Amino acid sequence: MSDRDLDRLVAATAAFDDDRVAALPLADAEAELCEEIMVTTHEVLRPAQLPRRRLARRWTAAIAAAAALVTAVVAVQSVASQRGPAWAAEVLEVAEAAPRLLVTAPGWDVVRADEFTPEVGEMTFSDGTRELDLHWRPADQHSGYVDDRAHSSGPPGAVEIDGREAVLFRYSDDSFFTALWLDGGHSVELRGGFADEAAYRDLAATLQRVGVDEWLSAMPESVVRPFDRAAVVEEMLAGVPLPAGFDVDALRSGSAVRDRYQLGAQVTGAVACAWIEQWIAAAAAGDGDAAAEALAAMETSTGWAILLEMAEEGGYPDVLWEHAAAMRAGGVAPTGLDVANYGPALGCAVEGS
Amino acid sequence: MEPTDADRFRQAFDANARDVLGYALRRVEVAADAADVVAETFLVAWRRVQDMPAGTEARPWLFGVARGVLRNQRRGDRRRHRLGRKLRSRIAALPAADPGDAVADGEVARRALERLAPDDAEVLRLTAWEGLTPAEVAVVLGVPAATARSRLARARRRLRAELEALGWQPARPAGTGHVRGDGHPPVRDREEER
Repeated sequence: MSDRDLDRLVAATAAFDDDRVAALPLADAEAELCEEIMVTTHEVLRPAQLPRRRLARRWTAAIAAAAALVTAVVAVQSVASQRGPAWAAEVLEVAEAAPRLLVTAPGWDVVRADEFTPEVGEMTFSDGTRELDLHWRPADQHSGYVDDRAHSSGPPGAVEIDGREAVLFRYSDDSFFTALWLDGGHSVELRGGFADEAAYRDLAATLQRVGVDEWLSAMPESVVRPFDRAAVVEEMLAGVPLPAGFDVDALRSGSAVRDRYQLGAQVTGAVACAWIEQWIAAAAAGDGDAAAEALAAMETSTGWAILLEMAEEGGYPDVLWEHAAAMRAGGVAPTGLDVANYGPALGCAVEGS
Repeated sequence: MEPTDADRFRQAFDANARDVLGYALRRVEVAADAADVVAETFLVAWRRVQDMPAGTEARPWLFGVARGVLRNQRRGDRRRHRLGRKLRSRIAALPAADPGDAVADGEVARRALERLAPDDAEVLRLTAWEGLTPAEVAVVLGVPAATARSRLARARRRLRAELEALGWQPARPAGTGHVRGDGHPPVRDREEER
């Protein structure tokens, strides 16, 4: 078998070939992404032209700008008092349960924190030029992650982090390191790209457990901003028609880990999905009134205030509106979007899935 | 007039976004996650536009960035951000790939690839899926071109041995190794190896 035949055989294992990828109707979504990226920072990095200190500042600014724009940040409340910060109950719950670890090496700060719950969390530390990611997850996922990292890297080593024995992996052909260890009810992972293993170990050695106040005070400003989920949900639903039996309480009492855009997507997505479910069920049952009611409700979505606000920031409203257009057209929008795929497209759970 | 950073980025995005999407789609478990890989890859490219090679050399460089992004996003580590949200929603709404399209040869080859060391398998995939030359594979993996070339030869040798171990026999004359089995050329016509 020639090399060319062998390559053809390997090509046959691809789930998507280039013809299929090229034919996907995604040009407008790609153009939007391009514009979204180009407004993230106007200060483009020029490593070769900047003195180190200035470079560090620019990097931090770029990372902070990107983090502020793109992360789903925890919604927390910080009320300054004369005796120090007071934290909202849900924030304290996270801080008390999570492994509160900070990189204490000089110049290193937390530049990103999302997926911020007692069970699961991610944060990124940076000194302006390098980054280190810390993850925590339920302890029962530990062996699965260790197996996964072992699969993508060379033989494991050992490293002590925060006084605990961790298994250390170096990804093949690369200077990317990751260490995993168990910390009470959590599996913790520390990941980053470094010049060599010694540089990773030096930094990992500075990881220290801190108190609740110190940990929360180290979070970026975007993470500690006031947010009252129940009140915001009420405000977002004003003027939005709801189907009979719609569970508003479930939205009010959901996780605190949402910024306004993310919460808006969750709230409007739940409403839209409920209407689409009614429309699909009504169509199947031949119930013209129920189908017409659902369509009329979805057609008001172009006037929902929260979607108009979100449209300034991202593409979720367009996708929701496209579903209304698909319903109007009998199920498939002029762009080819099929309303039957609403679950993953709008980010809502579909019964039975 | 010298092109601006914005010009260079836009040109690289227009020329390569779909290729990076294909690279990601072929390597993620959930298709919609490929949108996040594209978003993060080009976010890095925008920040590092001064480092990005010009012209066709941008493509393997971008695959190299995407490789790092993908590795960071394995197993749900994805940073859920709103960049590329529309792209994500659109991809999520696409009909799923029909496994019935896959040819039988592809299934045996997939099993053989899984038995190789991950790096060997990736060299073969970059060559066959993305149509990269060994010099371009070297850029993606960050290794010298000679290393990529010898690794490709070794990976082919090992794949042949694994195929043999699995009792593989060509089901039809070789040359129909496309996912649809319809006689299309491989994923991408590629230049002769340099």
